[in-house]
Amino acid sequence: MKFIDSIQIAFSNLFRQKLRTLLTIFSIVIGATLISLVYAVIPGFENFLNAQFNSMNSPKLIEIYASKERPGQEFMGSIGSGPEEYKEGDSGSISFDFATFKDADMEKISQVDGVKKVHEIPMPTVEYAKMEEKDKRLKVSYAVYLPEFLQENLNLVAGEKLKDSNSGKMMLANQFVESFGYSNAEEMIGKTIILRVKQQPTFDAVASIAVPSSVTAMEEKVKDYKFEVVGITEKTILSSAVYLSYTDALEMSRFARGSDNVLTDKDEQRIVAWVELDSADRADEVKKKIEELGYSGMTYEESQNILNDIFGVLTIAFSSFGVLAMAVSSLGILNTLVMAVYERTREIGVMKAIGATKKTVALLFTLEAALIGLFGGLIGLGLGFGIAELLNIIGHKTVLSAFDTLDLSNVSSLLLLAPGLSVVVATIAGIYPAIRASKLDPVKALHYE
Amino acid sequence: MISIKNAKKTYRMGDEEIKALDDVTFDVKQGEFIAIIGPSGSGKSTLLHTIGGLDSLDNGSITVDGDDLAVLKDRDLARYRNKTVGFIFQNFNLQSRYTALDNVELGLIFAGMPKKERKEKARAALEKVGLADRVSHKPTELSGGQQQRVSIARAMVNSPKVILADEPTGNLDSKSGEKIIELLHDLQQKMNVTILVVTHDDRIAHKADRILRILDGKIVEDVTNGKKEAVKEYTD
Ligand SMILES: Nc1ncnc2c1ncn2[C@@H]1O[C@H](COP(=O)(O)OP(=O)(O)O)[C@@H](O)[C@H]1O
Ligand SMILES: [Mg+2]
Repeated sequence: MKFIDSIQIAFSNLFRQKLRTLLTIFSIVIGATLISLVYAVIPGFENFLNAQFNSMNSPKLIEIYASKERPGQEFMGSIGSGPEEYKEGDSGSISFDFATFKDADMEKISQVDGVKKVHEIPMPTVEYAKMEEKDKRLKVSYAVYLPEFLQENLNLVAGEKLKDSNSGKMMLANQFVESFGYSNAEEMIGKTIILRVKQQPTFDAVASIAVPSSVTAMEEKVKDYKFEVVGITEKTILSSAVYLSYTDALEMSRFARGSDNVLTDKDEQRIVAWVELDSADRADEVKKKIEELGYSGMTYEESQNILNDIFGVLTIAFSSFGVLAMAVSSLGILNTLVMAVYERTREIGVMKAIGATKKTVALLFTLEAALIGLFGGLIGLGLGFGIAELLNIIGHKTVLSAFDTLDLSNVSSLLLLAPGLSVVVATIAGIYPAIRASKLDPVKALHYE
Repeated sequence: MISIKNAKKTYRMGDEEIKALDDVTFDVKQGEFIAIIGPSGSGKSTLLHTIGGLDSLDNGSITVDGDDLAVLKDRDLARYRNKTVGFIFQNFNLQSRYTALDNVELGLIFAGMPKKERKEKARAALEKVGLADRVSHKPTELSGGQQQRVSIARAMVNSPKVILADEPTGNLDSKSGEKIIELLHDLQQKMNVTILVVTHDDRIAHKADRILRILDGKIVEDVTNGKKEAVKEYTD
């Protein structure tokens, strides 16, 4: 018997009990839809976040901390593991190590072979941003010094990237263009923006004043800083971020905190710094050396792995619902085909009498099962992808409007997983009925009523 | 052509043993038309099933066209049923959702014949049984006699050497039955097919070259052409 003929016969057998077949197919559609949805949406998110992650990142980066353990690591490490033995000097409960960097530490780290430069990142709190020529004031979520090497993968929609030496210049997020009322990013290049910084003395600054009553009485101090816009970044999730040079960001930080201690030996918040490597290949080696000096660090690869792990877990968690649904529907397929074997007993007898082998009979039923899986899988793929597409369209019209590059209906070969899996599951469910049909005694089958 | 030696087949129903075939031995020549008669439950169908390779013997042997059926494996047995023998049943056993053409074609599909060729052959077979204008009819749209003719077309489409018919006129009125008998004789004459027909029908028995009478699984009478009159009283 030719394979194409087997498929044709199996296909026509499938639609003898239309309603039953449709219900059986539908049962596997549920699982296939879920899995397809997961594989359309999650890789889309992952690609998007990876791109976001990379837009201000570089394989040449190691984030380093003054403490021996990465902040939060001790807490993460304690999950699931049993109590540890107490050593003299340990604190009983989970503690946070507030070790801070000193200038000497920075000096030591810069001397490590493979380190090109150690960057410190002043992040002033900005009250608002305003165009010199306009009245509109906009909130700034994030004002930060962005070293040149972290701009490697950053795409601009207008202007040019900010150089480390560009004091008095700034780069800002694309979202500002529209918010300030411009239609074109180019229009903003060369314009002047004022960033207002309000002094919010931190505890050390306040303590140095040492007169409690003066705290409440202290008048509000503000200062405006002027910048020339040199670049507009593409839309990122940091939708209201501005990027400054080191010297400007540091000066603003010092004013904002009302303290000249920022990024000096007296700074109690100086716990993180960014190491720029000569070459990305040496990240692991350099990290190890830095840790031998008593600090901790996280390479670009490690932070990317964390992101990937999160998506891996999400994917498995969600798709296992789909797999479970499929496993349940395999029972339906089994039932449908066992019923079909009963109904077609006499027919199976005739087929054997006119020359069908056991293998042929088994193949016909197995193919029927596989076709149920295939149709269910394809419909599921269509539905899952359709739902993803719908989410994508609705999402981009509403909450996700700022993120053009976020594609929730991501097309990849992973989408073939759901139809593939449902064919496999259905085929497995078809094995028992197929064997049963092939083993029917033709004489008894021919006289079956 | 067919050689049956000491064929035994026993069914067990609880404590009771039913000897469906009890030491049956006979030979059949190529092109012979044999009527098998005997009361209900005497083992006639069992004999046809075992010759047709649908059932196996407990003891003894059946050789058809040089093939010892006992040693054929599933694959070869299927090919034997496909190519060497053709079955005709009392209740036709047509597939109700298939057209006449589809029903006749099915065996050729199992034989792996290309589509065009098998359609032609199936159509030709239906023409031979006088159903050229009924190829696209489904069994429910055909009379009993027409249905049986479809099943004759199905049995002969792959040019078998042996036709095994189990009470082919049993469900038909006498006029339709007549036509079936004619067709079977036609086949015998034109294609030199060996035909074994189980029947209660006198007309078939009388036209046969040879009559085998079975009782309780034994051949109690084997009468060849010319002595037919002697048999008449045994048919029921
Ligand atoms: N599968 C079976 N199980 C038990 N007994 C059977 C089976 N098939 C046939 N028989 C018995 O074997 C005997 C011969 O049956 P069968 O060949 O069908 O007779 P016939 O066709 O002459 O009426 C009968 O007694 C019948 O009841
Ligand atoms: Mg019988």
